[in-house]
Amino acid sequence: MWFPIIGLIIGILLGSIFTFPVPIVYAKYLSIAVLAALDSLLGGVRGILEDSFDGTILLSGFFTNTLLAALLAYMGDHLGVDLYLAAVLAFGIRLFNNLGFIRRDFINRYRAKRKIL
Amino acid sequence: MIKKKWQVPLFIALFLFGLLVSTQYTTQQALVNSLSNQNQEDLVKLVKSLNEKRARLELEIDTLRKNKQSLDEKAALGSDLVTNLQAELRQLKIVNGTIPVHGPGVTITITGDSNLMYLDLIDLVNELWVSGAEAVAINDHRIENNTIISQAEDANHRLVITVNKEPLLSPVVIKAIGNPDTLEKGLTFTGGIIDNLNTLYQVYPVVKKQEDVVILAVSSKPTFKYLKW
Repeated sequence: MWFPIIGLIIGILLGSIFTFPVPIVYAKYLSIAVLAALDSLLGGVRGILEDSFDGTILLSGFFTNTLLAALLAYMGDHLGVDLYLAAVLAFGIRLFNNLGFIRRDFINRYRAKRKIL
Repeated sequence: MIKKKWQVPLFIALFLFGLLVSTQYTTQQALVNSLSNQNQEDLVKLVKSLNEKRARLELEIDTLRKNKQSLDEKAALGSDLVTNLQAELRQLKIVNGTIPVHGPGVTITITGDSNLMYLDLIDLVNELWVSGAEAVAINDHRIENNTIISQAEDANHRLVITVNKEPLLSPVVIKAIGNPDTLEKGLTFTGGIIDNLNTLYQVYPVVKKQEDVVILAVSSKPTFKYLKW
C-alpha cells in the first residue's frame, strides 16, 4: 500500500534536489503534461479499486498522455489553435470523472465491509 | 497476488509524477518571478530605482576614476623621485669611491729604483685631476676626498711613501680613468710634470694609454663621529 507513495516522495525529493532548469517558454507544456500524468494516475487508482488494473496500460497511458498532451499544446501554439485549452478541458473533465468514480468505489467498499461485519 | 501486480507500475508512475511535479513547480516559480509576469506599476518602480542606482554608480565611477588619476600622478611623481634619488646615489657612490668603476684611461708605472718622493705622487695625482681624470688609484688605493699620501720611516729607518698610512710597494702603478689622450698630454707635454720629473729628479714614469682601466672601490668607508646633518 505504501510502496507507491514512497515512489512519489522519492520523485519529488529528487526533482527538488536536482532542479532541472526548464526554459520558461515550455512551462505551459510542462503544466499540461503534469495534468495528463495526474489523469493517468487517477485512472490507475480507479482501476485498482475496480479490480481492472493493468500495469502496461497505466504506464503506456502515462507516457503517451503526458507526451502527447505537451506535444499537442506545443503544436497548437504554433498553429494558432488553442489546443492547450482543449487538453486542459479534456483532462480536467476526465480527472474529475475519475475522482468521482474513486469516491464512489471507496464508499461502496466501505458499505460492503459494514454489511459483512 | 493482484496487489503485487499493481504496486510496481504505480510506483514507477508515481515516481515519474513526483519528478514532473517538482520540476514544474520550480519552473512555475521562475515564471512567476520573471519580469514579464510583474505588474506594470512595480516594473515602472523597478526601472526608476534601477535608473537611480545606475546614476549613483556612474557618479561613483567618476569619483573613483578621478581618485585613480590623482593616485597615478602621485605614483609617477614618486617613481620619478626614486629614479632621481637612485641616480644621485650612484653618483655619490662613484665620487666617494664606494663602488668599483672602469673605463678608458691611462696607467703610469714608476719602477722601484727611482728616487720617488711622496710629493711627486701628489703632484702626479693633482695633474691627473687637472687633466680631467674622473677616478684615480695608486696601487689599487682609490684616491678620494680623505686619502692621505704621505711618508713614514720603516723598521730600517728608511723613508717610504704611504698611502692611507700603508707603505707603498714598488712598482708604483697609478691608474686614472678619463680621456686617455687628454690625460697623456696633460702629463707629458714639454715642461710638464713628467718632463720635470725626468730632468730634475731622474724619475721616469711610463705613461700608457689603456682601453679599459679597472679601479676598485675604497677598502674602508669613512666613519663620522662629530659630523652632523
